Amino acid sequence: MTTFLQLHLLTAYPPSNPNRDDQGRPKQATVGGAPRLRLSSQSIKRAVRVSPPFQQGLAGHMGQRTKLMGDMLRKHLIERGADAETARKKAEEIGKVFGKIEAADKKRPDALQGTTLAFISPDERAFALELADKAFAGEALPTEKDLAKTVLRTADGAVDIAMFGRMLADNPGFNREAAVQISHAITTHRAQSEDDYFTAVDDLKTRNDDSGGAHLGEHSFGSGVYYLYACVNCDLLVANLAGDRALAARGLRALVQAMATATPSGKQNSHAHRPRAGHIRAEIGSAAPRDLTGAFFSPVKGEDLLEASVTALTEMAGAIDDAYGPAADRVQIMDVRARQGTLAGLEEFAASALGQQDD
Amino acid sequence: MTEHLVFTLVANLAANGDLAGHERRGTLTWPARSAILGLLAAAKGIRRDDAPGLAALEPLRVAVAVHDIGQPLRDYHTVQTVPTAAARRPDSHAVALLQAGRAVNTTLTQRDYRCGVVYSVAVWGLDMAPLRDALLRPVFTLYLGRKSCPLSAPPAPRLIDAPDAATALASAQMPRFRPVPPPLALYSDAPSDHARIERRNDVALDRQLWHFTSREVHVTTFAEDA
Repeated sequence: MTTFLQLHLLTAYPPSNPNRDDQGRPKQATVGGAPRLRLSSQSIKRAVRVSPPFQQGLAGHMGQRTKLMGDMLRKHLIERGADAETARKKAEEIGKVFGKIEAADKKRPDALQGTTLAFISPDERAFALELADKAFAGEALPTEKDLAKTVLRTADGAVDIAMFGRMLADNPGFNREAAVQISHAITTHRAQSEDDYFTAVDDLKTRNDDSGGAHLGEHSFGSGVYYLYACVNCDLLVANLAGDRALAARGLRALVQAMATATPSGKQNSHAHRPRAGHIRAEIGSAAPRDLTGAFFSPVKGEDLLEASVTALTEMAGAIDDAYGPAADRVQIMDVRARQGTLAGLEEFAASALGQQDD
Repeated sequence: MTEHLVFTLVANLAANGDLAGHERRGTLTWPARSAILGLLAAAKGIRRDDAPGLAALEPLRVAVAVHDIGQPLRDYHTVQTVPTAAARRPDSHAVALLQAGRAVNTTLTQRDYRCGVVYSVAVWGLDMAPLRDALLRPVFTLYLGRKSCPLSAPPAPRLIDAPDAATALASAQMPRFRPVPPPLALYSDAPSDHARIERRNDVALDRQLWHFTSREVHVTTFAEDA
């Protein structure tokens, strides 16, 4: 039986443009016949990955996206005293498990670079270095087939790879299935982007010359209460981390923190949007997960959109439970304005999802 | 009488595979056979690389009733590409962009979705009770086409004895939080008198290699402009 941790967040964004479409406007969607603003799941996942709870809180347990593993191995071998020719040869043999190596460049005969970015865990990096050391000490490298097995892992200590998955085109046996599902965030209410027409002033131009602006421009923005949903397959997360429950628990804490506080950073310097979730509903259980977008299929209306969204969300959770049976065994809520719950309490609750699992 | 497993798929966003290339990922208006079997496989905990496990679901027959095809949504991703002439052997994408200066090209990639879909599904042909239990307590997360497309209601699986899929589908549990129109069309593996035949390339031969073949779909349309 799988334990799911579901997170439902309501966050009020000020006028901002965190995630743009091809025209530079905030992304949009039509839900229940009404226009909404939208943040793509990709932009949210990146915001989570680069947030302080991940970058600092999980330091040493984050993967690296790079083409340069081969070159790192080559430099490592040269430091050990290998000659350029041997270093290059061994580094290429090992480095290619992460992806094809580009053909040698006549101008830079020593350089080694992969053709694609690979998402590499700290463990895999260490295994690759260890293998390079052995090769330098004179040991024969494993055959091509065993080489991938020696270096790559289907599970290891990189939390972001375990959560958001990876693809290795040349070694698909070591792909990772994402344990965390994140939806596109939509506004709970009817919302469209607005156009800002702006002028910029030339400081050296005096009023006597010409009082007009020196530059004209247009820029779109929008504001609203966004509903964001995430679902963690806790068993898969633990499996992706090779059974390390303590690290999985740290990951869940970081995820709750990041989801509550991190935002896509588009035009952040123009708008200074730094909202935090006003309402978070966390649920733990093994029943089939569901999001609560049904609450907003009819757009929320009223003077207080956040309040109305919280009411609609809570009512919908109850209504779905009544119709389909309970969606979760345990629920915990943080509501900022009602002074109910804390983020630390929610992190604890999220981490407790791992205690429920049976192996 | 045949035992049918009937369930509902409701989602705010869905993507039903269409021909897809590098820059364009389309969506059709209803989920394919491979999507339904994939969903059941996820519920059962059958992994993508478990070919025998996936093959065990192949005897299933599938019928999909479409209640709401949803509003189309096209999501744009921009990708900046650097011409090789503009940056020689850059260390990273960021370095390449820096070296290239203004000589970059922007490629638009498009992903299509549909907003607010409602489908009911009937499957039959195997022992259905274990599949019902799997939909109630799935092993892997269920979603409609892309991982960013969660279900908005539990699938509410039911075992229904009925002479045919169309009759069984009448017992599907529908969400109450939104209007659910009567079905526009039924796409079934089983022939019927009123159905026309279409072909759809959605029988998975090898999911790892992305090989699919086509099948006959028996389409009954209940309203114009479906």
